[in-house]
Amino acid sequence: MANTHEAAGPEVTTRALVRRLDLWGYDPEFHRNTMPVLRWAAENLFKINVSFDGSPDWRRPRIFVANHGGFLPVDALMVKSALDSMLSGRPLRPLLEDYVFTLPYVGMWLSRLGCVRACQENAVRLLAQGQSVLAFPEGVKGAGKTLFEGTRIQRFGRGGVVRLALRTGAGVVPVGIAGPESAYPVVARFETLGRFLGLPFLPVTPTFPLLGPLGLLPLPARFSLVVGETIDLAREAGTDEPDEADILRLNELVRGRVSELLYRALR
Amino acid sequence: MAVKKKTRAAPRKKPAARPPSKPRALSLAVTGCETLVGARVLQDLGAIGNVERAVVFDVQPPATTDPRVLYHQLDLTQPGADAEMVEVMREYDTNVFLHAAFLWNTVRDLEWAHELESVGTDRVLAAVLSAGVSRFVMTSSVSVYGITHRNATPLSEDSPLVSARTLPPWSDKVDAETAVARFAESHPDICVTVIRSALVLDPMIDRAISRTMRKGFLPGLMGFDPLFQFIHPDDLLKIYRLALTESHPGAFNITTEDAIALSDLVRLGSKVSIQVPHVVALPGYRLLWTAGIGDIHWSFLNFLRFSLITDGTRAKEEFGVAPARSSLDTVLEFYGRGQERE
Repeated sequence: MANTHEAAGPEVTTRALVRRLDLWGYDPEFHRNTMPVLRWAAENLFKINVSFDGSPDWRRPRIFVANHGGFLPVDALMVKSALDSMLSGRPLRPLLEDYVFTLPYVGMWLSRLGCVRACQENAVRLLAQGQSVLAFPEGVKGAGKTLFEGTRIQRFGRGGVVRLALRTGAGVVPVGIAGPESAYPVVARFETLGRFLGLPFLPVTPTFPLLGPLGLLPLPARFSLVVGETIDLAREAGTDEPDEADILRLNELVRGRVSELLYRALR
Repeated sequence: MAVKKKTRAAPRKKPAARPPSKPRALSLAVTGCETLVGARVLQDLGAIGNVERAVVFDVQPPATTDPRVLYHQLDLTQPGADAEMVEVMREYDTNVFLHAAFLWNTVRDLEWAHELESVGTDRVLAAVLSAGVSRFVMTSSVSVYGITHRNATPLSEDSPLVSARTLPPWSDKVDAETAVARFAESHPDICVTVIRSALVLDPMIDRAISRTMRKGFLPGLMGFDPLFQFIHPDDLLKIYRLALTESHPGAFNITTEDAIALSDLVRLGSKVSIQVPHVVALPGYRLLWTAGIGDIHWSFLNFLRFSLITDGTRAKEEFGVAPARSSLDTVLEFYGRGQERE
């Protein structure tokens, strides 16, 4: 039986061959090797344009909140490629829908890049570790938007982001993203067939399912990001013990900001 | 009532009266003497300290020759087992009960497994109550949380137990845990501790995980590389010894702070990885299992797809000790590379 230890040379111990993954599967080495490719794709294939309101100061962990689109989270990767280097050396951790992690290769690679399943427990723990997260409160409704529904922002869940921000004290940074709907122009979605395959829906795009799995690759659409100023939701709440009405009001406030930024990004 | 033959591994003695100032010696009762925890506790009673005797309730006698161990043949699946246990425990003034009679390899006779784990636990709890036992410790596993992509990372002890849905053969363990949680709530005077351990790698114990990792190849699902947490049996036993001698009520995850990817297990063990598309492997293996082929239930293939990561902070704080070995240390030791520990 081949001995990995010997095969690698005496100076390399077996221990050193094991990747240092965190509990979500984030692999710093994979991240370091992949991000330059992702940045190249963002600049050359997707012609990404990023603008900021004010000067970004994100030394403390933040909750980035963006609109969502596309069956695969290419928008998360675009935001990551644009903002990762501005977060004090800690990678941005996108919070993605459950179904993404059931897809072979896709879920594994996204985990290695730092993406995690969207849930309060994961977000709280990451923020406590000093890592910023990227949330898409539209969830599956956003991912399944068809061309006919345009870029209208869907409901922002039930205020999970607001609760997270109030619980952790992290500032919320709204982000408007134009482009994901063009990268994944969904003309129809089959929900029953999707559920049969363990997915919330199966998209029909000009390339999928026509080209098979290759058809899931995003089209080279132009992306535009507008990153807003940090919102201090604890201050906006105006009370130490916000009730359900406050949560819904703050949720609409965040949705409104993201909506404004999206329309600016679309211009 | 099916009364089983009583076999004496050592002469029985009435408990001697003790001065009230001294802490009471442990009079232990144990079920599941062939399981990893049951066997290891009985083999090394000296490590617990101050154990007067240990009565074993099982269908098989324990392997130990310790004179303090008394064997009482008993089948938990039989009606009346609780009354029989009460009689013996009263005789020996049992004050601590270790319930380890759980199956950690999947069996095809699910009806028997239900009788042993779910109904058997009900019988044990009834006996514990009637015999006036003051401390009850139960073995469990983090797999009671189930294996699904919806799991949080890491799972805390407060996470719902959903294995009944995602791991059907484990549903009886969830039933047992639910019954024990209800029991603990109704009887706060009895200290109830549930130990949920991560995957235990022990070359001496025949478990599916050890068998699989001893093979020259490791199965995998194409496009998935889940993470695993392993606990060394010595670290686990350290917690059990504390749970048996001190009051630590509640459920506790016993796990490490690190995790290892399946691909790294392949690399560390110099194994060949056999990768199959999950859309073929899951229904295909399910079909084979239904046809009577295979010794691991089809639902366990999801361990090759999703990670089951748990948080051991509560145990660390409560017991004041953390596992001395990481998951990586445990795997290296299992593969015979323990000398490479840092």
